[in-house]
Amino acid sequence: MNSFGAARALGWEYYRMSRRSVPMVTLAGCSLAGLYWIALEPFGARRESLVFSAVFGTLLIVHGMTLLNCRSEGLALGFERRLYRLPMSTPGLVIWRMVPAALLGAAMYLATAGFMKLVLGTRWPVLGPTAISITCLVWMLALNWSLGRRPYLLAPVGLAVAVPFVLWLKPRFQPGAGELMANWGDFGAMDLVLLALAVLMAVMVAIVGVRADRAEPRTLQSLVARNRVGGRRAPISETMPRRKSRSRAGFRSATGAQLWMEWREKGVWVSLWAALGLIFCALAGGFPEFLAGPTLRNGLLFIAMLLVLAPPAAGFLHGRSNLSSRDSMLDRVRATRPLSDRTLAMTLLLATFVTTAAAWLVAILTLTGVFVVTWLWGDTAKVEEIVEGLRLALQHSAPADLALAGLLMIGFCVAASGLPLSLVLSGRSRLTEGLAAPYVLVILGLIFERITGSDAWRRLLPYPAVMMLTMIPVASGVCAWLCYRRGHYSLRALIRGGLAFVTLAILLVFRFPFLQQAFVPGGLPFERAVAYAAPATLSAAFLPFVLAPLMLAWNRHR
Amino acid sequence: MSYPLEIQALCRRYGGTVALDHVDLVIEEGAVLGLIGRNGAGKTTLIRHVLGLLKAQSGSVRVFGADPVKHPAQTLARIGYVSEDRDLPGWMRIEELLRYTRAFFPDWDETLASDLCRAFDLDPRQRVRTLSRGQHVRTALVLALAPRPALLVLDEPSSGLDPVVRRDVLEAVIQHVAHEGRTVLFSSHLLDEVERVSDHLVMIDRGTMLVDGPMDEVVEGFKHVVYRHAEDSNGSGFGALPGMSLCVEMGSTSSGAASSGAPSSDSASRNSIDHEVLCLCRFETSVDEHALAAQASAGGFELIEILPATLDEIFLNLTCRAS
Amino acid sequence: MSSLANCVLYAYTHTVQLRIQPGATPIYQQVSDQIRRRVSAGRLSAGQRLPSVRALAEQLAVNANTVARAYRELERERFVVSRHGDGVFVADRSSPFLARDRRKLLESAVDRLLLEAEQLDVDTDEVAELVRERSAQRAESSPNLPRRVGS
Repeated sequence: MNSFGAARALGWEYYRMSRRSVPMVTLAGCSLAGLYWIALEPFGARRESLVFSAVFGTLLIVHGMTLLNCRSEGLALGFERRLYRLPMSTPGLVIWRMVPAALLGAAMYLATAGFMKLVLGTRWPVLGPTAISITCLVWMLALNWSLGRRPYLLAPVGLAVAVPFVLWLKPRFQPGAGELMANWGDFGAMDLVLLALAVLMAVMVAIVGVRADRAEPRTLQSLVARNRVGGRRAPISETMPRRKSRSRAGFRSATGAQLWMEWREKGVWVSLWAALGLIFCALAGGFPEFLAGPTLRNGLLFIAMLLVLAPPAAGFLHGRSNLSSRDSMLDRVRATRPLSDRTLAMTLLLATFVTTAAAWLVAILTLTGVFVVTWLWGDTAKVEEIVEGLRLALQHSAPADLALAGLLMIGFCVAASGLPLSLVLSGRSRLTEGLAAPYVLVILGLIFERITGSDAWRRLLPYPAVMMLTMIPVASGVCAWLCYRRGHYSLRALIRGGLAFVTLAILLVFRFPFLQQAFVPGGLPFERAVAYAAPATLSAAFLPFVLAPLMLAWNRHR
Repeated sequence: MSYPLEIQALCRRYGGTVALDHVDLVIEEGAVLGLIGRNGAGKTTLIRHVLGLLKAQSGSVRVFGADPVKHPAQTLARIGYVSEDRDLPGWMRIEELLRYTRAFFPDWDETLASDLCRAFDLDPRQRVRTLSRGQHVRTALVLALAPRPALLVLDEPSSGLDPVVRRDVLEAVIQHVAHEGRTVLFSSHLLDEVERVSDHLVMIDRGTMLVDGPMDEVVEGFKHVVYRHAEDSNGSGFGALPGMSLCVEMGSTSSGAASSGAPSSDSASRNSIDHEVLCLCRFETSVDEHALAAQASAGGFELIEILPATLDEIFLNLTCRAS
Repeated sequence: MSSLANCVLYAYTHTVQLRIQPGATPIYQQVSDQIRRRVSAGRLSAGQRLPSVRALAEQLAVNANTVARAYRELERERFVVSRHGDGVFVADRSSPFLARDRRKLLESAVDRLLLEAEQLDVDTDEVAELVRERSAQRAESSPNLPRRVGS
C-alpha cells in the first residue's frame, strides 16, 4: 500500500463516515450564527461573538463527530485503535486523520461565513477565523488522541494550551470597535505563521501521543497474562486487591443497573464534553469579551446557549444505542434486558435527565468560575451589579413564583431532552433528521428576509408556538390513549398524569396574568412568544412520558 | 401447561425477500432443540422472534405461553441468550458486567457465576473490549447461565471458535438441561455439535423448515438408496413406495459405464442399458431391507444398496436440492 | 468448564474412555457399541459401576437422552444391569448370555467381511484361510497379545 493510496483510503473513509452529518452540522453552524444574530443581537450581543459562535459551534460539533462517529465501541477518548492495524506509520496515520478533519472544519466555517454573507449580507471575516478554527480543531484532536488514556489530564492540559492562545487572541478585540471586519482586517502574515507553528506543534504532540498509545499494551491484565509462564493462576481474589467501591455492593434494582450503564457509557462523556466545550468557549469566545468589552452579557448569552443545547444533545445520545453505525436499532444488550418497554423507556429518560443535570451543573460551575475570574481581574463592578440584581430578584419574587420558575425549568429540561430522546429512540433515521426541521425553518425565514427585505416572518414566529401549544396536548392525548391500548400504562396512571397537567396549567395561567393575554386573538408581538413558551414547555414536558415507551416499543419489536 | 416455545405459522418478510415462511415449531420442556441451516437461512430471524426483537408479521410466537412482544419483561427474564456477535459493552470490566446483569435477574446464582468464571479462567478485572473471541463467548455464556434461565437460547455461539471453547459451550448446554425444567434452543451450522447435544432437530433453509423431528429418527430415518431401473421407465415411481416420506434423487449413472470403468461414448449402447440411481430417502419406520427390495421389484426397480446417511449429507443434499 | 468437568469426572474418565464421532452411526449406538466392546474385551469387569447417565453425558458432551438410550439398549441385551437408585453396573461376565452376545457382536463383523469378499469375488474358503493365516502372523509378531477370542 503506497502512502498516497493509504491516505486516499483514509480520506475516503472519513468522507463516508461523515458524509451525511456534514451538511447537517453545517446547517447547524449556520443556524447557530443565524439564531445568534436574530435572537441575541437585540439583547446587545456583539458581532464578534457571532464569529465565535459559528466557529466554535461548528468546531464543537465536528469535534464531537470525530469523537462519536469514529468509534466502534461507543463513546471513548483517544485515537481510533482499529486503525493501528493498518500498515502505516504513526505520523502517517495522525496526519491523514487530521488533514480531512481540519479541512472539513475549515470548509464548514467557510460555508457558514458564505451563508452569513449571502443571506444576511453582513461582511464576514474569512481568513482569520478559518485559520483559528483549523488550529483549534487540530489541537483538540491532538489532546484528545494523546490523553485518551488519561482523561483527567484533559482539562488541565487543555487549559494550559488555551491560556496562551487567549492571550494572543485578546488584542484582536478592540473595545468599542463595533464593526466586525475592523478587528479581523489586520489579520496578517505574522499571525498566519504563528498559527501554522501552533498547528505544527499540535501535529507533533499528536504523533508523540499516538505513538505512545500504539506501543502500549492494551491493559495491565494482558501484560500479566502474557508474562504468565504456565500453570494455573491463583484465584483472582487472592492476587488482586479488592477495591471497595459503591457499585461492588451490587445494584438495588434493575433500573439502577441500567441507569448506571447509561451514565457510564454516555452521560459521563456528555458532561466531560460540556465541561471541555464550555471551558474552551469561555476562554476563547466569551473570556476575551469579558476582559476587553464593557459588558458581560455576550459571554453570558453564549454560555446560556450552550445550556440550551445540552438537553437535546443528551436526548440524542441516550436515544441512540449504536453511535458508530447508521443503523440506530436498539442494541441487543438493551433490547434483551428483562424490562418492560415502559420501564426501559423511563430508565433511558431518567438517564437523559441525569446527564442534562450534570451538563448543567458543569455549565453553572463554569459560569461561576467565569464570574469569579472576571470579578478578580476584569469588570468587577459589572459582576457585582449582576450579583446584586440576582439577589434583588430572588428577594422580591414570591416563593410560589420561584417554585413555578423552577418547575418551568424542569419542564424545559424534560421537554428539550425527552422529545429528542423519544424521536431518536424510534430508531428511524427519518424522524431523527426531522429534528433539524426547526433549524431549516429559521434558515428559510432568513433567506426569505434577504430576498424580500421584509422581516414580517419574524412576527410569524409566535404562530408555530401557538400551533405547538395546541398540537402538543393533542399529541399527548393520542399517545396516552395508545399507551393505554398497548398496556404501557394503566388507566389510573394516565388519569393521574392528566390531572397533574391540568392543575399545573391552571396554576400557571392564574399565577402569571400576562399568560392570559396570549389567548386574546390578534397580532402577536415577538416578545409575547416568550409567554407562549411557558405553557408549551409545560405541555411538552408531559409528552415524552407517553411518547418514549411507544417509540421504544416500535424500535425494540420490529 | 405451556411449552417453553411454541411457534405457529410464523412468516417474516424483509422487503421482497422472505426470511421465514410458515414456520411451526414446538420445544418441549427439557429438550435440546438443534436448529441448523446455512448462513442466512433464517435462524437468527427466528431467534429474534423468540426474544421479541421482531414482531410476528403473521402467525404467533409464545414463550412459556406469553407473547414476547407484549410481555418482554416477563419472557426475557426466563431466557438466557448468547448471541453470535460481540455485543457485550466493551468498556465494562467482567466484574462490572456480572454485577450489572445480576440486577436484572432475581434468580441469579452467584456461586454458579463465580464457579464458571473460575473454570473459564476469566479475569474479573479485564475489560470486555480486550477479551479474545473465545473469552467473549465464555463471558456471554456465564451471563446467560447464571440466572438459571428456563430457556437457554444460543445463536451460533461456537462459530469461529477454537475446539476448547466449543467444548465449553457444549458442556454448558448439557449441564444446563441436566436440571429439571430447563430447555435449550441451540442454533448452529456446525452439524456435529448439533448432533451431539440435541435431541430434536430442525433444519431450516431459506425460511422454510425442511426437517423437524427427534434427532435419532432423523439420523436413522434418512438413508442413501441405490436402485436400478430400465431406461424406458423414468424412475419417478420409486419415491412413492410405502414407508417413504421423501426421496431426493442425487444422481444417476448408466450401470454399463460404471461397471466397465470406462465412459461409454456410444449413445446407442447407453440407451439399451439400465440406469443406476442414487437417492436420499427418508423412511417413516425402521427400514426392512428385504421388504423394501420386494416392494421395489414389484414397482419395476431393482434395489441395490441401502447405506446410512450422515447429518452432513442429509443437510447438504436437502439444502442443495432447494437451490 | 472443561477443566471443572475434568476435575469432577476424573474418576470416570479412566474407567470408561469413550470416543464420540458424529457421523453415519447414531451417537447412542456408538456409545453402546463401545461399552459393549469394552465389556466383551474384559476392559470393564463384572460388577463395575458405570457413570450415571448425566455424568457420562457431561463427560462426552452429548445429550443425556442419547446416553440413556444407549444404556437402555445395553440393559436389554443384558450387558449391564441397572439397580434401582444405585446406578448401572456391568453384568456378570459368566452369564451364558454374554458368550452368546460376544458371538453376536462378532457376527456382524464377519458379515461385513463376507460382504467385502463377495464384492471382490473371493470365496468363503479363501476368506477362512486368510483369517487363520493372519491370526498366526499376529501371534508371531506380538506373542504377548492377549488372545481372548481364541480362549
